[in-house]
Amino acid sequence: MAGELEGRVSIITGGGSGMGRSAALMFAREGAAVAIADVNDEGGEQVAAQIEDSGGDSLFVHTDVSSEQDVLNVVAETAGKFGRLDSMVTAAGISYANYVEGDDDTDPFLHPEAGSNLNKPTEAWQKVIDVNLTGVMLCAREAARQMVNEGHGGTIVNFASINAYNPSPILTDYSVSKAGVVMLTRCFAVEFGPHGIRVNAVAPGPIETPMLERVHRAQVSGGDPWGNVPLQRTAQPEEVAEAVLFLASERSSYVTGKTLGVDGGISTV
Amino acid sequence: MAGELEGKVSIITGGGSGMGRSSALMFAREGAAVAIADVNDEGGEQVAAQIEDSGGNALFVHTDTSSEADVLNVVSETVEKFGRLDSMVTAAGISYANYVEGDEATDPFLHPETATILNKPTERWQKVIDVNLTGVMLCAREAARQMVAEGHGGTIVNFSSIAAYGPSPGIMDYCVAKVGVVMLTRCFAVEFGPHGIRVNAVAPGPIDTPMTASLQRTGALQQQGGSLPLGRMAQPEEVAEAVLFFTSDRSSYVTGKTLGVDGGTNTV
Repeated sequence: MAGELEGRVSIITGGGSGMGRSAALMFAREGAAVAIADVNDEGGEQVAAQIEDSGGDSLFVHTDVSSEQDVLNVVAETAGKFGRLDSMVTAAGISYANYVEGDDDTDPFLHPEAGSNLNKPTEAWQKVIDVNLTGVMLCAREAARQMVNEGHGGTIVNFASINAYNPSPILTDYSVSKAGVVMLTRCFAVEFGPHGIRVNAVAPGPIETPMLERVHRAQVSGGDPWGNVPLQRTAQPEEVAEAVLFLASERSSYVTGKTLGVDGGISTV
Repeated sequence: MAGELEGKVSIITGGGSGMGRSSALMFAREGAAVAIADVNDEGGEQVAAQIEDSGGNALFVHTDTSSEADVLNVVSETVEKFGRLDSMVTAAGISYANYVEGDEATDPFLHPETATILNKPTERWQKVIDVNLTGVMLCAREAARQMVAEGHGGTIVNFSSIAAYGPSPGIMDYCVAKVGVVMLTRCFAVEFGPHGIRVNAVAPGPIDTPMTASLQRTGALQQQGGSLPLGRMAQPEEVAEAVLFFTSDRSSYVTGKTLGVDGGTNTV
């Protein structure tokens, strides 16, 4: 049986770890050629190699999504190698400015005082907005431009978060960037619908990824931190990847501009 | 390759036509035993027969979803025949009080003046609320009670509408019922999550179904579809795919959500 994405070409930002990695492996399993765009060279190369070893087509391109040049480059390299572009998944994101560096001193979960708006410097805000919001805009925009140039439709799936709906004092920058992604998704859907390009987003709740490990690490007190989740558990990244696949496949042919919470029922819209 | 719903048992209200019918046929194709609950005997019997003829398992039970006795009955008949209940899809709905009777004189799309709040009598409001809101509550509630009694999880997928987000003169009762379904879906998700029961909804836009036939006659629906970002109205199978997604394990961490299947209408 042919996969759901047979013959398709996809770029997945943040594909080197977490939900991006799960989406990349799932897309490849469904027949797509997958370009992994990540600042994490080791993780990205590993995922690309794993896809190739399983008989799939993949490519790793070092990409800082907040760099317009890098985004133009990954689109060009992908279309150059695989001949077209059908889908963009913008999973790359950071929970705080120095997330990639793994800096503990400014980790808002370990040191809430460092995440407070009273203390956080402008450049920390700027970095999160650059990666999580402008980065998504650049990737979605360049994908749409490429698809329109190629003269066919396509799909874009962005990553919002439950924090788009739930303000978190130590994650103002992150929460604001993710709320922006919800509206960006709607704006892009309206503009690119007539071109046959559908644009949707997922809004994950607590998912077992490297990013959530930092939250777990800070939770030293007893009790179940996810007791307020109706489904009473955190989720695996594959459970989000399934929603990404649904939104990237023909199964969602009349769905666009929507953000689907994948959050175990945490109260959002 | 086994279907996505192999071994599962589902009740689909409104399964005799439109999006309910598409969902029933898709669920059966994916391996589920399907009970069709509808006031439309002819359509319901036909869908059940079509599933049986294709080698599937189906059952038709005449059901007015606004009748508590009917809802209790379809749940018990389904469990008696198929041994369990895993999924409820509440697709049954009416666009106006006399929709089932096909009464054109009170059709709000053909005769908008009969449907204004100034002119519509209380009993018509009551009928739409009974079927589209209380009917959904009864079906979802009895399904959840059955699943909890059986000691396993399950899924409920409700039918809301883009009308839940866009007030429309002439179908005020319908709009209010459908936004009620959005909140009911969230409340049920919170209450039944700990039991492993996921509760979600779809909010269809302009879909080519019998319900929109009179609206299509006026040309308004095609116009509405043409003004959407995707530039068209949709087929009921495109909604059924979303219903299947919410019912299958592919949406294992999704609950309490209403997904618009609407070509990009300006909703949440």
